Amino acid sequence: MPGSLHVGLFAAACAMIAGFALLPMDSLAQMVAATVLLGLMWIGQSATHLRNDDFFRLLALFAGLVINLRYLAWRSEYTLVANDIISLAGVYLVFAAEIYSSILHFMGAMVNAAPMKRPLLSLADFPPGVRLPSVDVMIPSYNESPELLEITLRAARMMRYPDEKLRVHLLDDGGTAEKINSADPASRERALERRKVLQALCERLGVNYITRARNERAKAGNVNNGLEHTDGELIVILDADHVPTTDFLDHTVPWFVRHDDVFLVQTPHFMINPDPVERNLLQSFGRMPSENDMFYQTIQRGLDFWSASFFCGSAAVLRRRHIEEIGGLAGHSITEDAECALDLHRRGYRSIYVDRPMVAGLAPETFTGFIVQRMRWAQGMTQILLLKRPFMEPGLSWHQRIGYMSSILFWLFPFARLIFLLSPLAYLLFGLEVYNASMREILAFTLPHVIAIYMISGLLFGRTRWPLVSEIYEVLQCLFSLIAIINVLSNPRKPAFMVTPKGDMLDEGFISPLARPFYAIFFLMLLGFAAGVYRWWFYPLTRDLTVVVLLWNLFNFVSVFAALGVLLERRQQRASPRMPAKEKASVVLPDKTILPCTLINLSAGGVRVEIKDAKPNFAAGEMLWLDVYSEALSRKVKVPIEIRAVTALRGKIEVGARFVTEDSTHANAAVALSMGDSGRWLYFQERRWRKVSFFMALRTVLKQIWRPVFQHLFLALRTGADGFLEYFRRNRAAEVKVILD
Amino acid sequence: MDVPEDLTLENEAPSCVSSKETDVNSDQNVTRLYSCWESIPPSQGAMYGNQTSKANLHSQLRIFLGLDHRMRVTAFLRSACWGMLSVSLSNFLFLLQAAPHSYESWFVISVIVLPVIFIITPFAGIIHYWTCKRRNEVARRFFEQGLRVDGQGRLVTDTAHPQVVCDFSSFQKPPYSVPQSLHA
Repeated sequence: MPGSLHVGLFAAACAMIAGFALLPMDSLAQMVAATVLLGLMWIGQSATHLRNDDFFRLLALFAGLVINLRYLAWRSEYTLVANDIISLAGVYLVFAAEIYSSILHFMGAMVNAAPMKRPLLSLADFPPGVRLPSVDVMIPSYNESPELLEITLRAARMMRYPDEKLRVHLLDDGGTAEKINSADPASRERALERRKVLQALCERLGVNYITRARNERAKAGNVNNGLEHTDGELIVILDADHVPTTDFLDHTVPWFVRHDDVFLVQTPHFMINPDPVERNLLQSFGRMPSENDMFYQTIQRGLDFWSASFFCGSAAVLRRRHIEEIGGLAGHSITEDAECALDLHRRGYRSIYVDRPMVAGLAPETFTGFIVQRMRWAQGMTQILLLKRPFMEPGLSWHQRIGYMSSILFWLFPFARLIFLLSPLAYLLFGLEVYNASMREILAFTLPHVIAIYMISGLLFGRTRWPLVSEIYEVLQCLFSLIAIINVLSNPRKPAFMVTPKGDMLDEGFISPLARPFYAIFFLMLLGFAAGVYRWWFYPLTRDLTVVVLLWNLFNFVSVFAALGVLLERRQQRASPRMPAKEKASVVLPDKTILPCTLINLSAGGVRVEIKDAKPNFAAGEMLWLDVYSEALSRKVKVPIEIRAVTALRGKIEVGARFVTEDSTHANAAVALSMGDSGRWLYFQERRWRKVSFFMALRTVLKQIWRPVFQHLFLALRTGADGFLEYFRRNRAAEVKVILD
Repeated sequence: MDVPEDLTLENEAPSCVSSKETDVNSDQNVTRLYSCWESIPPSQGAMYGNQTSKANLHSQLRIFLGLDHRMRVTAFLRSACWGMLSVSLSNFLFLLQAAPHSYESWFVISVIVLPVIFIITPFAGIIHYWTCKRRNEVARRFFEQGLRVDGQGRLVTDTAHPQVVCDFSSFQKPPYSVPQSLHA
């Protein structure tokens, strides 16, 4: 079909949609039209996995698009009126937030309409004699512990790749000359000690230790320094806590061998511990999709379809030639990863996304750490928006522009979320009519719009993001990210890179120091309910609107209520998180007796096994051998273990033990066994990816949030106002200051 | 046949394979495979009978794939019925209340379509319900044996590194008849 015909058809389709969107209808006709469209969406979304499911999927998206366009057309044409200037400002603010959400929604629908599923390539598929590129693995570090680094370095050394072509480098920014010559004697001592310990560790493991003179440009500067001291054709960048599986290079390098124009192969960041929302509130790490599953399982694949998947800072392979072409990683923003990908896409190079979890990392344990991480992302993306302007960057295709804009604009959500949180209160408390519509119009226009948005979200992200979970995450971030973004808007070059704190252990549960603003919003919402009842009683003419706004406030209240549950930090004493396993093994007793057992969970530090029909009396401190087949190493391994705890259950016992890893061979075996198998990560992820209905998600969330919230409130009351504030001052004030600064 | 990514319903942490062949102490790692058709414990013989064979597992997988396909078709049919019902009802109400003129033909269509849909919709729902129930029953029994059906429609062990037990990828057309043995 000639190009002009395509353009003509596209223009005609746009004209038809615009005509239908702007067609004036009364509420009844609109209700009928919306019902028809929602019916189409329903049919379309239930036709997945049938023949022509792509057609039905697009049909559903298209119907949703039309509903939303009609809603926006109605809003702009009939509802942007007010009696006074303050109300008018409120009206326009709400409408601006809706426009923003709709733009994001349309772009999201386009980006994720057909997520790409790449084949899993392997080096073994190449004929013998194919030349493989040399690889430098770079692990930038700033303040991570040697124990944590040792696991990552060992795993990196064990990746399956020809020995002579693989080199591992620890890029230490905590032992730089600048730090060692610091004016503060304590810092100087710490830096010196760190450098000594890490150099010894690197020597023991056969890793190259690299540091530099000055701590310039944070992680990006550190990697650039690493680039200057190495010469591998491919660069693997891993965060200090990101442990690769043995097949990482096996599945990523083939893309570079096959395509000369590929500059990046990105893989998912698989988190082996729950983030604060999962740990403190939902307690659903193994049952519900994780927060980043939505991005790595759906959105990155969608971006990949449009050749716009981007570098996420770690768990990726880059081609040195291309990186050097743009002068290294450091750019104008603190999210140098996305910026680097943007620059290289602009030059016409390609990125690939391989959606197999082959790098296991740590999510921030505390809410403070979580916020630090998210503020950095929000600031970095805003910097890219302001300094790089992807929407008009020459060299990018139109779909790449949309892909980048979709990813970047998402981070402006704090504005919209805060407006949606506070708008009902503006009406309930102050009588500002920020949303002018009758009940009939709301039923005809607003309700189908809201239903369509949830249906489209379910269609696009149903398996990897449950309904209502996004709202909780956004409410938790919006206040802090808003301040961070305003700082960037006022001075785009000001933000500095902040390292996300990870690997924290929490000796006792405590209320997050960032909880105070949420108390204020919580009590404002309670006040809003009281004012709403008053309004309903004394203003009979606006009862319809009052009921609608009260429902809106109730929805917001549930999100804020759930957020309070997250703000009670739970105790976390395990140094390395344990992941479930179910593999057959055997335990060898000191007298050479062999007992068959099943692995129940594993971490880099230890294991829990179940032994059926066990008679022996195990005691804490006893030494045993674990004999198990390692998929990562494709052979059996024997690791010494020391019993830490024994639990007797009906007809079986469970033994908790730690790996005894004084010997390097045993330490390698323990790391390979616990962290080296991508099949286990994939298996774990697939168990928790499932689609649930809106009402089931609502029921699950409502069921889970009560307990943490009441525990939070109970602790807050018990601590008392004075003690509470004292607690703040003593423990966390400095931390809060750093974040809000 | 297009089979979706994962047909397994159970998402909770699965139980362990209870087969004798999962002995990793053996030097032959190949025999580590879960050759389940030779080792189904007698206590779980409700599905497979006392003499479980590879042929039996093939037959169960065939039933599962048939039910799974039927479940998706009935899910679509049910949604289509509800969609059409809502469209017809709203159209009908609109015609009754607000149609300007010349609406007789639309009115007649609604009058014909509505009763038909009213009759079909509950049937579609019931068929879907029973198909799901029976499919889940088969899936549950596979699960109890430490098996699952993967994205390619193969019966595999329910482990991180699954071993193929039965492969029906050569099946072009799923069977729709469910043998009586399933009701046992």
